[in-house]
Amino acid sequence: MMNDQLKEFVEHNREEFDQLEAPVFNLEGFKAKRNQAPEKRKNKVLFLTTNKWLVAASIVVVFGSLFFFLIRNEKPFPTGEIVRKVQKDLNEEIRQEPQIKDSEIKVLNNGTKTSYTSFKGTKGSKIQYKLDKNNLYLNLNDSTSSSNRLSAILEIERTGTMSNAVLDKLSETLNKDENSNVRLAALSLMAKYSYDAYASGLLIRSLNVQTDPMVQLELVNILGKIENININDKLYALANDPNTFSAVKDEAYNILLREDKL
Amino acid sequence: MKKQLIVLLSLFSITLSVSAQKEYKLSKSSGKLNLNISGAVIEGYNGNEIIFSSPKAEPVEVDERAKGLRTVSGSGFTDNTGLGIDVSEKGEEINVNPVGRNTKGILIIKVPQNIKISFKNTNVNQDELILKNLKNEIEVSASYNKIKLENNSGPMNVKTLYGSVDAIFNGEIKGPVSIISVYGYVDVSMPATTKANIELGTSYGNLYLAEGFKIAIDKKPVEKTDDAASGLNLVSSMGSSNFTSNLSQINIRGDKENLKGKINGGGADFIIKSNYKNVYLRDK
Repeated sequence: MMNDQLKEFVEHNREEFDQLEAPVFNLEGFKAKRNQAPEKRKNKVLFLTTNKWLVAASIVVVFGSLFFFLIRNEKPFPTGEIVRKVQKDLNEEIRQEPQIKDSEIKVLNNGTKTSYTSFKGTKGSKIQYKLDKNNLYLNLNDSTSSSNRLSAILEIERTGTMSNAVLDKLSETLNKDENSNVRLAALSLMAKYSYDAYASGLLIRSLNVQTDPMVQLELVNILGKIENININDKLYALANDPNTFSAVKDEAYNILLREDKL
Repeated sequence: MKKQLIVLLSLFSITLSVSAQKEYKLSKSSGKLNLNISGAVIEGYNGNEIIFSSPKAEPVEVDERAKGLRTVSGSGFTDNTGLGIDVSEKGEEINVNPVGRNTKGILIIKVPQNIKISFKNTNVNQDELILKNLKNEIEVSASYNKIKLENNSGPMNVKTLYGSVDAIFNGEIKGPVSIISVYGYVDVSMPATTKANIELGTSYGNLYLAEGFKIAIDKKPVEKTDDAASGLNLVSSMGSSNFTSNLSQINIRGDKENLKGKINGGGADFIIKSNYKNVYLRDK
């Protein structure tokens, strides 16, 4: 079909093909065209140069953006491990909270009652608070240093909060610690909450098992001041025991005399 | 000639005294020294050895029958030092136990300053206990010993049933410091600039406080005790701080005295108590 069209065109213009001569070669024009070519190239080079700058600018922008992104986020891509760890901490937090809440006594240093949940702060600071408390309890069992154990008791006192769980730990220290000064510090802290039935119960039980005469003396003194408890039998037993430290006997007699039980 | 004779005699006497002082050395610069003896002078120094010595090396009476034999205690300890004590190492701990009944004068122990000291003596046999220039933890549990503490940094837990305690603190103090006696007084001196949380207590004695100390009293918790109201009186009397002498007496009551507060904004924890005798806090 194409060939037919060409053939048709040639046949149609045959006369002109035969009559017209080939145009004269214009050397000047050809040279002029050749000279124009480098000019075109020059334009292309300029274009390419501009492109380089654009590329450089793009790179700067990309790296700049990346830099700002990194600066704004110190940990831009939290790994799954970190996420899992935070999740684990929060889960532990949730698991531990009710245990303490169930048995808390809620007393501040100035004697006003408050709630454990009144602790204000972010979740992070709450976790830190828990960790600090756990460290305190660990120090309370540090068998290598009596000073660490004493420090732990003084720190617990400074927190201004108390729970039955903490009272249990203090009671254990009161009855079993190797050092009298540590036992006395535990007793001193427990005595602050002696108006509470649970705390006073632990103190009365300690009188049965207490072996340290210095602590016995202080314990008898404290229990003698608590109202609505009857420890007369225990005081008689202590006073009549030949192994009882003389100062403890004196204190026991003193209380019995005050109660008019002698 | 006379001069030469004097020099010769002096040298002879010095040699004699040095030879009379027997020593036992143990290379140790850290750890804990557990002393289960009747008393001692324990002094910290910059060194790497624990040096045990006694001014009188020879026993009071020499038993001719015991020649060639070693003294053994009922607990199985043997005198491996020639000083009437058994010294044995167990890991980081050095245990010192008495052997025999022949007292050979008070034991002098020089220790590297960072060694921890634990002294226990519940026997009636007792000497004075002096601890000075120590920079690590001190633990004392005694029945009858009089205790002197000089220039120790703490922390320390000190208790004695019948003995008294004199403590002098200089410079930086690391808490907690707990000093308690039942029948003896407790006398503590410290710089007036010391930052401390302080608790002073006595059941039947008095509390004495130097004028240099201004104690910011802690609010007492509400307690169901008989002396709660009188505790408040104590606070108000302290608040006035009208001291007329170097040591001022805080009001006397038949009931327990307990004073708790902060000096210079608070810092190291101090618990100073005596049940039957007075408690003194002096500035140095």
